[in-house]
Amino acid sequence: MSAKLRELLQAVLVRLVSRDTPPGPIQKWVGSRFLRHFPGQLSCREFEDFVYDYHEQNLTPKQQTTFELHMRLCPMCRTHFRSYVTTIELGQRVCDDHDELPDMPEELVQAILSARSAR
Amino acid sequence: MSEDTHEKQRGGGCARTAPPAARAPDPQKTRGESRLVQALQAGEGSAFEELVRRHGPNLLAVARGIVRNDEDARDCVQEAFLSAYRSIARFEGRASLGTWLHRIVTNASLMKLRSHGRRPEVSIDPLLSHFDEYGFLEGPIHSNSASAEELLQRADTRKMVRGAIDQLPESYRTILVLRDIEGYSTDEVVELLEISRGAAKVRLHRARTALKNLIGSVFE
Repeated sequence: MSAKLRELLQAVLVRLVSRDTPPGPIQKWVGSRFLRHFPGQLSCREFEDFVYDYHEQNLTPKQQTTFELHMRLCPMCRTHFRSYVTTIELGQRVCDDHDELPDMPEELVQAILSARSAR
Repeated sequence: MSEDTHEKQRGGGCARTAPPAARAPDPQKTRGESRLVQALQAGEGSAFEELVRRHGPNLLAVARGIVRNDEDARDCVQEAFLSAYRSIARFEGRASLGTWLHRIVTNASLMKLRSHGRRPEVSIDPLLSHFDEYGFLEGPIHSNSASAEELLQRADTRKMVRGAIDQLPESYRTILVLRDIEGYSTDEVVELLEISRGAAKVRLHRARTALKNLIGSVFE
């Protein structure tokens, strides 16, 4: 298949299935056949297998392109990936509030000092 | 995010706000730290007390995050400080004191978890992604494109995320805490948990996906 024809087909499919709403039955039928039969496409399940490595920047350039094309085509996976990244950032920042560090109980300080002296 | 970024974020030992003495850029505080190390290596009792008071709160937070039990966390902190005391002569200052202590208390906390023995774990499968008959990802689309920073402005986000992390099965919670909260690199996590790199990747991805699904309402 020529590169030009491939680009044209992809552009048509992007218009057809890429929306910010969940796909309807017709979009799903067309989309699933496209993802199954069009060379170089990922299914949502395969996309899921690549999410970690894409985020960690471990994919080859070709894998990265395929991953990104699926993300353009599939609103569910696009939103899934966006929420996945935000979740990681939330996890990283959820404990960064210095005011929320616990107080060091005085009895624990004394217990540590006593245990050290006993050794 | 790359491991390099994680390393930079960790700074004084973790993605959590590091204790002031553990941050590198302030020369005044760095000098304070090197004096403290010298005093510790000389066996000064007051220096050990200063170490405990300065780094105790952060170590207690790290231990609590891993063992989720106040009494166990205190045991871990005590064990960590005593272990640090025993090995301070070998401390060469390649990392900050905060980073060094952070690693020690993490090891003590993981030892504590292991000492409780392997408990039967609830399956994480219901919290993972599911696919319909066409192979499409199932589930509601949360179209909120707010950044983590914007979401954290809401009063209940922090509480909800912490609560969701606590709901994860233990092995998944532990790897998520080590990597995403405490900021260890993948290589460090592999070493700390004594698992293969492949197992760490699968477990961490599942933990993140499950957490994402547990906090779904944050994105609405």
